[in-house]
Amino acid sequence: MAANPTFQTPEIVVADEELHRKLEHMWSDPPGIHGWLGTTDHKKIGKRYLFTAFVFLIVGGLEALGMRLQLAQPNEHLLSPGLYNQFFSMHGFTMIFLYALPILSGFSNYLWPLILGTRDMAFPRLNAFTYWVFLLAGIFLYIGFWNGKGTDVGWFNYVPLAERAYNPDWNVDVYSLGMIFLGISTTAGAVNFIATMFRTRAPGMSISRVPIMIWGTLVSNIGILFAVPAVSLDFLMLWLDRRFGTQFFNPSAGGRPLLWQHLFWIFGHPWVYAIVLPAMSIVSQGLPVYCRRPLVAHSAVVLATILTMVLGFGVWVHHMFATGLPVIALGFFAAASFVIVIPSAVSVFAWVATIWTGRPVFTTAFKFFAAEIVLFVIGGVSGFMTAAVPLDWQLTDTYFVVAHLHYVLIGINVFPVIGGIYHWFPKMTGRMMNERLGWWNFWLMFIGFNLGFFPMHISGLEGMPRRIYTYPANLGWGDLNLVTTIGSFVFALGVLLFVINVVRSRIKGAPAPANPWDASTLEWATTSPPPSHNFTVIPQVASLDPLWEERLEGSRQSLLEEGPVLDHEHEIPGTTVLDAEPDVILKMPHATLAPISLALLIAGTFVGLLMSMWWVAAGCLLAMIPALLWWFWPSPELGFAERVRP
Amino acid sequence: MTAYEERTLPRALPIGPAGWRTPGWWGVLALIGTEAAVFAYLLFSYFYLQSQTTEAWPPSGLPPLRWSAPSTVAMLVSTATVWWADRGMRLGSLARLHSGLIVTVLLGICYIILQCFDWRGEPFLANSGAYGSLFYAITAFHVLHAAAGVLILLAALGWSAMGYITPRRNSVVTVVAMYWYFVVVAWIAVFISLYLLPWISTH
Amino acid sequence: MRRLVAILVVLAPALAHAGPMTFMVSHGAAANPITKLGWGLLGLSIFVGAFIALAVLIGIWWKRGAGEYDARGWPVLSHGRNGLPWLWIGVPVSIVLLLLSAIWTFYVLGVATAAPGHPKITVEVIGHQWWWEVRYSEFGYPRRSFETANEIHIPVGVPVELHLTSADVIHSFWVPQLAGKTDTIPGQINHAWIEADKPGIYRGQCAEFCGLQHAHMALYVVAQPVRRFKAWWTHQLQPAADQVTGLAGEGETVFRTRCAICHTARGMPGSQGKLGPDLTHLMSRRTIAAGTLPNTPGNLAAWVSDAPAQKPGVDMPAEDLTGPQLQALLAYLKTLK
Ligand code: HEA
Ligand code: HEA
Ligand code: HEC
Ligand code: CUA
Ligand SMILES: [Cu+2]
Repeated sequence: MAANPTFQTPEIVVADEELHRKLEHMWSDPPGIHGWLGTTDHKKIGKRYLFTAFVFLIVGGLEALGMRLQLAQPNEHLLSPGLYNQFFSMHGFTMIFLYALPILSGFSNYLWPLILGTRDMAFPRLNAFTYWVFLLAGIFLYIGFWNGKGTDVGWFNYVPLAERAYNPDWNVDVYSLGMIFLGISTTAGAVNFIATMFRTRAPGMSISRVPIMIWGTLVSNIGILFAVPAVSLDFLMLWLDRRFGTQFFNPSAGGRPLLWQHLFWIFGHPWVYAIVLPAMSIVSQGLPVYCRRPLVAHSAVVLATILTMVLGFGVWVHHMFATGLPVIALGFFAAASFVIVIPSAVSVFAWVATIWTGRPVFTTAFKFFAAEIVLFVIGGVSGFMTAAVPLDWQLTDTYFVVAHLHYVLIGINVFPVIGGIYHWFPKMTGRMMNERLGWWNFWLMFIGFNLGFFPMHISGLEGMPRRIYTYPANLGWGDLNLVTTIGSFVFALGVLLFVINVVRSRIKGAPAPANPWDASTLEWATTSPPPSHNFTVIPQVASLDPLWEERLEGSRQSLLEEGPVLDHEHEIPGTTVLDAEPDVILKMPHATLAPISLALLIAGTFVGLLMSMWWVAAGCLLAMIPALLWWFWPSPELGFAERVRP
Repeated sequence: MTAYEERTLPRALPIGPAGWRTPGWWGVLALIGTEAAVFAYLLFSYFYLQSQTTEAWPPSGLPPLRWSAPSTVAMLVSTATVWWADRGMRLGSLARLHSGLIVTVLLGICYIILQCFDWRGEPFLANSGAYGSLFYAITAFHVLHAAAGVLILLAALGWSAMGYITPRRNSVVTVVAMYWYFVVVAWIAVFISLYLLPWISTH
Repeated sequence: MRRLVAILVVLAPALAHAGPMTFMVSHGAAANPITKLGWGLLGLSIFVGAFIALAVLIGIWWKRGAGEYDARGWPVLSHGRNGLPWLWIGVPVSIVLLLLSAIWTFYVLGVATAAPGHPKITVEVIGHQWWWEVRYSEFGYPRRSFETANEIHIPVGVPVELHLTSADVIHSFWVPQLAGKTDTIPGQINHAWIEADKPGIYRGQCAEFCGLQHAHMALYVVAQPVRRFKAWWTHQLQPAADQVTGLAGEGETVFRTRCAICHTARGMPGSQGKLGPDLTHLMSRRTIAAGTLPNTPGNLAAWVSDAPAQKPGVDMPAEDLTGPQLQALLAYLKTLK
């Protein structure tokens, strides 16, 4: 029996060119299709996420523009009612599920190991798998649309409207199965972030030195872990109802339509925080860089992030205030919804204080981050108004809620995301984005957004219900809607400009130095773009802002150029949870086709279920067993076993 | 001595997922968290429908304990056997590991078979009413978990027979055992909610 | 933010002119306290939004130039001044504002849900895809009940209790100037009440997405002085005229064969259809097809001959009637006063 080395004492060296080349070679993917499909490099996966999610933003945005044209004037006939209903439903779930979270996963995937000072995520293969499942589920969710009938009952898909009796087409089956399918990706991603955070931080990055960006994503993913099962279960039950005649939601057989709503919103509300907390943490991470000082009240903001997520699980009924629940329940959930304002206030005041006590630099990214604060507050206070139960009886299901949800979603997701791209684009591509285009980009988006969405508050107060494909002329909604439509197009122009800027800068932007913004965290310590192994030697962290230590503390305690060589195959240090003391050396896998194969098998299962081709589904399911065995095989190369197979 | 060595003396580190809190351990913990949430939501649905009904609950009379009681015993015993196996391996006895895992697998299969008998005896179907739908959804979901548990127990058994698992590289067994404990705990929750509570609340 | 204020100023007239669906103006005891709460919280919200927006703007411009710059012209890094007072003041003030808002909210919640004394009238409203079935009944007088659709009459100054449910999917009953929304959910009866301070016609609309024609599921509440309301009620109790002759008589036959499976004209034998609105007093209603069309002879003819053309997806089929049949039918419908 050949022995695998069980222990190793890493040698401490200063990074040099030779070691760099060795690692670069060792960590880069094999050439050709195998490397392309099999890559486990978090940077490539992150960029794929960003790209794919952005494509979905444009698709969902085009759907929205179609709706806006239809609504621009009373009694228009651009879209048939059936098509309009598909448009707003597809728009809603595309934005919420295929854009808003995946784009943040893109950032996190790309940035986590860099910020944490390590070379990959805890489970690189799971990471690749997560992306493929997301991509396939996204395509799956759109197959109905391409075949002329997308889902048309809104993103929250209320029963009984979504039951077979009222919706005999397969569109809702596509949506139900697609959501379960997508849930696999989301959950697997969450598992990966959690293990990464708790196990693979750079030595010395104790819990109090974890940058805010990590906290946002971590908290969001812990939330996802407990929220997503509710919606997957909900959709599974609906699919069983539709396909096999179970009676979960049928009131004449003991079921309840409201069960659907409870489960949906138990998921839904935590989810809306899951898709903004990472974005808020992008702001918390980026804003201070341009204010030339550390974030005010870092720990308070971290606690507020955690508290928001925890409280987020206790407010779901505020989406069901008009369903006739007992007054006690209404009161409780209204109170909880008021309480959840408090942690948001902490973040808002911390940002404002950072601006006040810092000296801002007017980059495009800064403008997006500063705008986020204002948009968040506008969106937040409209949420605060809907949290007041009796008032919500008037506001619910009107354009006021549409205004609320776009202010929060675009304000604290899209704006930080675009700002984040301006901020990290140099790191990702090695090129700077054009600031002049950025100026136009920002102002078009900001003005267009407010012009388009602010009037929605007023149409809401004027009593315009949401989800109507047209409206009569005599109710006074026409002008407001015209303004909204114009604003939407200005906003879209801004987005287009952003796309142009990205493409242009990618090709001929000015070359970026390692740390163009003079930022403080570890991703800026390596070259732009980073080598495939991220760091030639693993850094040692001694503070929250390692790259600012000399200037803020007088001397640098963190060690960036010198550290353990981990150059026998893919190695990273495993560290302890609280103190980040290194206690093992983890072996990371190479590019492999296992993730995409498994993802394809899952896709096959869902296609089989959708088409009622049970043998296809069963076959794919069974094939997953050997695939999983192959994946989890405790290979000595990964350090799982001491002894190499005899 | 370099600045680095002044601060942290390099020491010999184990290679690979050694020790307790391996990435895999965190991963499976997270997985268990999310699976536990599924069970929680299933039971939430069950109690929610119960709270909304105006008729007898369960509609078809008290759930029989004829099969479910022995299957619960099998489950409870299996926690002991898997613990015994895990512990045995830590103490260096692969024989204990193997025999413990085999007994656990058998108990798991025993549970699944008993549960199939229970289904055969129920007077309702999954589409005869909301109670039936939920009853089968919950129990079937649990049986699927038990089946998955049996499969990974078998995988662990196979891998250790091939010599991959040793007392110092035991994370696979630790993690598999952890998953099995979860399967059992989930069953206890299901058993109490679906089988026992109706007996208590009607008296 | 200045831009926002500008937009607000431009758009304010839109609010002031107060369309028929706005709830920032209200006309009944069930809605009035909510309207006040609405203006109050809106004011607070505008204040908070404006405050933070100004804080951000001032923070950006104020003292921006002071201090040292580094080689490339960026302000040098520093720990900055202590920013914590923002939190120490901002968070407690927010908490106080929230507390006050919560107290007001709960007060209004209590008022709005309290049963309105002893309601004299109970109206059952049943949502259908895509119209409203309305049933009146007087407690203890089974013979004083009748059915109508899409138009609810109430006496001024009297609280009216509503029992809301649905025949198919979830809808939401909403007459903004009289009360907030209450969903109509199959398998469940929800309670709400409305009251009008002054006579008038109040528009309402289904507010929960319910399928293809959710946009065309309106209703009207007609508030009348008590005496006129009683007269209306008495009139509604009458069955349809049973002696129709001539053209209308032919129309009655068409109705019986083509329409009666879905519609009721009380008094006509065999006309007990439940799938569509009760037509006994069709002509007394202001609109047809759930508020979609004014009830004019032209609209009625268009509707009866091809309903799906007026309201795509509707459950009423396009009847291919010959010209004379249609004329006869319309003549008959005119008798349904
Ligand atoms: C994306 C994220 C997101 C975020 C962050 C929020 C944040 C909040 N939301 Fe929102 N919400 C949605 C996304 C989001 N929401 C979506 C998508 C829907 C619609 C779903 C659908 O129906 O399709 C919705 C719907 C929705 C409803 C249901 C409306 C209805 O359908 O009737 C309610 C009701 O209470 C609500 C409340 C709140 C509250 C109280 C907050 C709070 O967290 C806001 C807290 C923040 C602030 C208030 C600003 C900062 C605070 C200060 C500066 C302190 C001072 C403030 C005061 C004193 C008020 N939201
Ligand atoms: C992150 C989430 C998100 C985002 C970004 C948006 C963005 C937009 N949304 Fe939407 N929206 C929702 C989430 C979101 N929305 C949700 C959850 C609902 C509820 C759905 C439901 O009721 O079920 C909703 C509902 C909703 C409605 C209400 C529909 C109804 O109730 O009837 C409307 C109406 O105006 C609307 C409009 C818009 C507009 C104009 C945009 C604009 O911002 C879009 C801007 C346009 C683009 C971003 C595209 C730009 C592309 C180009 C310029 C082309 C470039 C092309 C190439 C480069 C090839 N949205
Ligand atoms: C298959 C069932 C069906 C048949 C047959 C049918 N209707 Fe209808 N009718 C409906 C439904 C359903 C509505 C409500 C449509 C809506 O507003 O969405 C309706 C609405 C109406 C209305 C408007 C009522 C109101 O108050 O809004 C009139 C008038 C009417 N039908 C007349 C007729 C006549 C006349 C015929 C026969 C020639 C007929 N219907 C045949 C189902 C039917
Ligand atoms: Cu009925 Cu919307
Ligand atoms: Cu919510």
